[in-house]
Amino acid sequence: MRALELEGVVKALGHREVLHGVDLQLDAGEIVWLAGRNGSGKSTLLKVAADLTPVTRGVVRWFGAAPTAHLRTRIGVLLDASFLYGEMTAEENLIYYARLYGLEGKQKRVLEWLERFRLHRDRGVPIKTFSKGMRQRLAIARACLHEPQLLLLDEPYDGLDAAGSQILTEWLRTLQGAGTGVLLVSHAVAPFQDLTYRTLRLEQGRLYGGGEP
Amino acid sequence: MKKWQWALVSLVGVGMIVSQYLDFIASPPEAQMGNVVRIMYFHVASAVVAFTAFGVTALFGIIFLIRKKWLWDQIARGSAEIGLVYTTFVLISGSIWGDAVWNTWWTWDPTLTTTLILWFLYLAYPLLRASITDRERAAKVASVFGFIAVIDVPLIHQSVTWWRGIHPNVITAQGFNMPPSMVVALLFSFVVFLGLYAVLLWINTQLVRDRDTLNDLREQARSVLAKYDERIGS
Amino acid sequence: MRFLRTLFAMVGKDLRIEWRTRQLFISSLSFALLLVFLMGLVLETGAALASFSEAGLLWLLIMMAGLFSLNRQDDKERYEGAIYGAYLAPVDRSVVFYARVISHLLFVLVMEVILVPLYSAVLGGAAQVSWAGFVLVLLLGTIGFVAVGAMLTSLSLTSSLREILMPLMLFPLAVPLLLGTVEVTSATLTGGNGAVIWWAVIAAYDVLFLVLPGLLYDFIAEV
Repeated sequence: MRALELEGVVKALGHREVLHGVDLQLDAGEIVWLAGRNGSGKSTLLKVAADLTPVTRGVVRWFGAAPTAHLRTRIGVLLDASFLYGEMTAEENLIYYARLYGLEGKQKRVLEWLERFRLHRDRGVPIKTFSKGMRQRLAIARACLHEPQLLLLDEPYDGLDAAGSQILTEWLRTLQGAGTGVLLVSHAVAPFQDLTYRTLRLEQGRLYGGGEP
Repeated sequence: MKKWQWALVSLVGVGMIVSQYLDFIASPPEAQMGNVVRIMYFHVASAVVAFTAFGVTALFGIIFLIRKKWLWDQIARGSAEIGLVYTTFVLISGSIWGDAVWNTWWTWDPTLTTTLILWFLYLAYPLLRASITDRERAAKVASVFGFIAVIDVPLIHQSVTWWRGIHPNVITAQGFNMPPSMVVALLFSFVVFLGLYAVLLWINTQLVRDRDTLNDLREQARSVLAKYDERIGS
Repeated sequence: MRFLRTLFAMVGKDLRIEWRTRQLFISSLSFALLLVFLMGLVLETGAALASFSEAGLLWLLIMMAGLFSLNRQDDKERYEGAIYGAYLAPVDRSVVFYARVISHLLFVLVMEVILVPLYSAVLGGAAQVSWAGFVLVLLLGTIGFVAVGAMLTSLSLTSSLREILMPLMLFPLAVPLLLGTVEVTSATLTGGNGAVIWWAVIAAYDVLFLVLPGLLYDFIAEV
């Protein structure tokens, strides 16, 4: 099954066209590494794919259908901003998002996630005191909490230390086995090079398949 | 310019001259107000243009939101600018009229008050647009704001009318019966002013579109230069 | 069902954060109290105000203090882009608008509980207040005000002139509400219940600005 499909997606930001007709297919259980220089439009592509910003032209499909509010239960998104509240603790932040997604057994699931990312000891601290790496771990937990079948990640390894990177890579391997499609933007390939992945390069708003940079 | 466009502009031009004749020569001075009444032709016709312009802004804003074509937004933007200018005319001519007839520069007449509120709202409109960097978001936000503002206008007018109705009205507009020549002059000024509005809107929309195109070209030039730099670098 | 659950989650989050810091509440309230003090100073306390002026000043005070909080309360949403996290929730995005209305409403109402008695003590001259009408108009007026305010904060979220544009957009739009609430409040301060048309104006305004933004919200809810 196709987890994500972009067809002829054009996106203009202000006066500038950032994406010029992007076609992309992402299957269930597939990891796609989206590479490209700064300013090539990777983040915009992710926002479009997450239906957080409308396309100028073209079509976005999730699991073969047009994005709807209900389908958002099945996608997870991590952008450069963490989407977290600095005044709330790590646990409160995750519980809030668990509520938004209407998850059962919130408390237990949140604790699992905090433990997975080794944040359980600091779970009662307002996250404005967190380091960048800790915040990034929590942001990843936030994006994955509802066990999405399509995961859109913008620089997830950013700010993570070796241990954090390893946890994330292990988690991605698990997801892949479970049939989740992952679109991953990253400037470095090293942290996840052991996984099976396909590479796409975004250059000047156009997508090119295969090949190492 | 195409032929019909010349024809339209000439027609409005001739109409303006005829309108001046009707306003200043053909129509009589009013019994009590004398020649001051001639302000009315300008004042009321400007008000008609101002309200029309804001209606057009709201309408095309909504069309833009649904259809996402830049032309609709450009018309809305062009119209809002004209509306702001004409609202200013209405307020100034209203003040002059008020001074001459009621001996006060400002009166809480419901329509005048509504116009002043509208003036504030449409002063915010271009500021809101200009202070948002993302062009698409600016257009959307302004469209929603323009629409809400216009929806609110009847409520504003009605509430101001009732408000004045309940409080003692120190100054009342004395009613007067207009002779036919005044009615003709007034109606004619409506038509001509709306014609002028149409011409201005058409020209201003083109200007707005040219500004957008210029920005697009600048943006393109910048990206071409960036690409060029990259090649030189590698 | 899901809509309501999400709504409560968002409001709960707002209250939790507000309760934790309390800075915004305390500073807004201090500002309002300072204004009461200044008004008393320039209006010569002791000489009772006419009921219309008393009602008018009270509403201006509430709206100014409320504006203060409207301007600042969304800062937490912009920090780390949290508002976009809310847009990922699997419900209609207008839930963000309604959650904002409820949070602002609670905020301003709590402020009024402290502000209004103090205001009456300093500037009030009303001898016979019809309490039911007074409380109801306070509630309905505040609902209309926070509804239009929440709409405008969503519009000006990314504007660089936000803090000055807010009052410039808010007060002209709120004129019908202001006139309506002042008329009714003034009537209740002298033992009356206000004219029906003014209640109608307030009700119409509340309905308009609770429904319309909900319908238009999808156009402006994006990153």
